Amino acid sequence: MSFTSAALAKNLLLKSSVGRRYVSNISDLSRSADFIRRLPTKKLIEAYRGTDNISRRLTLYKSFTDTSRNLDSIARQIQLSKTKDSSKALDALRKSPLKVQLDLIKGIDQTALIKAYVLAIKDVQLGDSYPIAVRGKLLVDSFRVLDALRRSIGKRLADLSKTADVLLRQAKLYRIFSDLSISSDRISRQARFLRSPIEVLRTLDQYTRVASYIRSVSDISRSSDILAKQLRLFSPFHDSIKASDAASRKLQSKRDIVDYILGDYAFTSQLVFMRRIYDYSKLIDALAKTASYTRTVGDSVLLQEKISRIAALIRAFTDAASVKERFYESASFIRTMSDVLLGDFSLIKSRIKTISDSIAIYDSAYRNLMKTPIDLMRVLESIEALRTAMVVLRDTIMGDFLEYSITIKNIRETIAAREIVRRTLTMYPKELIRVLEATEAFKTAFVTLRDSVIGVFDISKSLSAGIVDQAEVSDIATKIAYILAGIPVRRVYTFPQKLIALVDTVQSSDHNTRVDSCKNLLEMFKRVRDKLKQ
Amino acid sequence: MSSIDDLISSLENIVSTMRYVKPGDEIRAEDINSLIRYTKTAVELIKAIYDLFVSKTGKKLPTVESYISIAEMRSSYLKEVMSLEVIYPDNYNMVIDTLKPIELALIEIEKNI
Repeated sequence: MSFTSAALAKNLLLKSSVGRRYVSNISDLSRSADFIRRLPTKKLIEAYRGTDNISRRLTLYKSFTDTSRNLDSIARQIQLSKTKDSSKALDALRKSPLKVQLDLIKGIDQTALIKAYVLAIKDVQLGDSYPIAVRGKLLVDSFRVLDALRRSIGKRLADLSKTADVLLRQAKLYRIFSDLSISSDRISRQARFLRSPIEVLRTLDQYTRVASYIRSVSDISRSSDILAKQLRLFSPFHDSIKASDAASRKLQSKRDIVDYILGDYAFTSQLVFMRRIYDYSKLIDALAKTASYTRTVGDSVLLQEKISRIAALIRAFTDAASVKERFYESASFIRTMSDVLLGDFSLIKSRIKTISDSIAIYDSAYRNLMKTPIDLMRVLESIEALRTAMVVLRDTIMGDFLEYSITIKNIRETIAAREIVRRTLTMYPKELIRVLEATEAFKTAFVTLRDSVIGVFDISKSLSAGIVDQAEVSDIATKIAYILAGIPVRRVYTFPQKLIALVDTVQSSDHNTRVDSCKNLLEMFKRVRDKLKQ
Repeated sequence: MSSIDDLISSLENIVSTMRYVKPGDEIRAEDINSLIRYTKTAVELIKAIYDLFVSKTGKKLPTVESYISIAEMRSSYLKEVMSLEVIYPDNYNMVIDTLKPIELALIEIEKNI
């Protein structure tokens, strides 16, 4: 019994005014209280022991959690113990505080039961006696301590749990790291293992490429050498071919010349041979040629006739224009225009420009009119020369055939005739084309002139065919203004509706200038009459 | 000689009938007919003057003859028009085309007088 319990008991015995019958109960109660008092104390001591143990362990683990070294230490410990599955240790570590906590909770529950029991006793006995109250107070204090311990332990347990959780998470993290490290090591080792072949392969590939490149270069060099050698071999051939081509061309040219000469010579020889041995077959060949020439002459004559007809037509127009009254308009108009303008030029200097333009137009028209007949005459002369040559050739060969009396002179004449024929035949188409073109141009110009003259002079408009051409010529003619008896008079025109843009309106001045001209001309008549009378 | 004077008188009469016109005036047939009559009379007059020149001087001027021929030929195309008849440009132009060689002939004759 402790001092407190003895004192309580003594006080209960001395100071209690309750009956004796309660003493035994009090004594029992004291015993019970003492038992009760010792019971939590024991529990508390045990709890303290457990708490101390836990506290120490918590302190240890807390220190582990304070620094990263603890983690390393744990990791090293885990590694040193070669515990591959660190969760086992962690589970044990976690289970340990949980077990303590579970035991503590069991103890607390028991303490709570005791407390409730004590309280029930206190409530029953508190009002009975002071010592009981005192004891009850002590119990309450004890309970408070117990509660504080419980809360402290709970807090420690909570911290421990938190620490364990942290440790667990860190351990898991470390495990992950560890696994990663292991994996990394493996991968690294595998990578190193793999890298070597790859590097080897790369190196080989590079070597291969380099080798290929070197081989290509080597091949190219060899090919270049071969090509160079071939070129060196080929160059003389090429030069030879070039020289051969040039020589061939020269030879061809020379051969042409030789053939040409030989041709002439052969032709001459044929004639000589004909004269000597009277080879009829040769003569037949020559006659065949002659027939060909004759046919050509025939064609030429036909063409000549065509040209002659065209020339005759043109000449008919020209002659008619200059002679016949039917074509008075063209010839007389041009001649009159020339005369009139020349007269104007001698009298009126102010109209020089107009006259010059008119003369230029007239000259151009005149040249165009004359060019075609001249060309035509040239061709006709050429055709005549051709015809003459053909006749000579025909007579010569035919004479040979008939009389067998060809002479050197005949041969020369024949060759000359053949040359004339050749040149004429070469020239003839060109000249013919030129003349035909000129003839067509002349025809067009003549029709234009005729139409314009008819359009200007003839009252009947039905003969006016070339409306556009007429307008062109008329437009040129509008520049021509007469100075009639010192009065400039203007020609007036009307145009068809198609050429309405060129329409001319008869001005009042056109009439008045004519009246003035008539008056002046009348004075000139009088003056000349007077001079003649003198 | 008298014919020349008569012809000149005729010309004077014709000229006296000629009128001047202004823009907007009506074109009458008489306007162009007077010119045509004048031209034809002038052709006759130049022929008479040339005959007089030849008789006086004894010279023949081919150029003048040519001019006269042209004038005579062209005058043959001159025809008077009726009222309300269309007046063609040729009516106007042929007058001056005929009078021009007459003028040139006069000049040539005057030179050789």
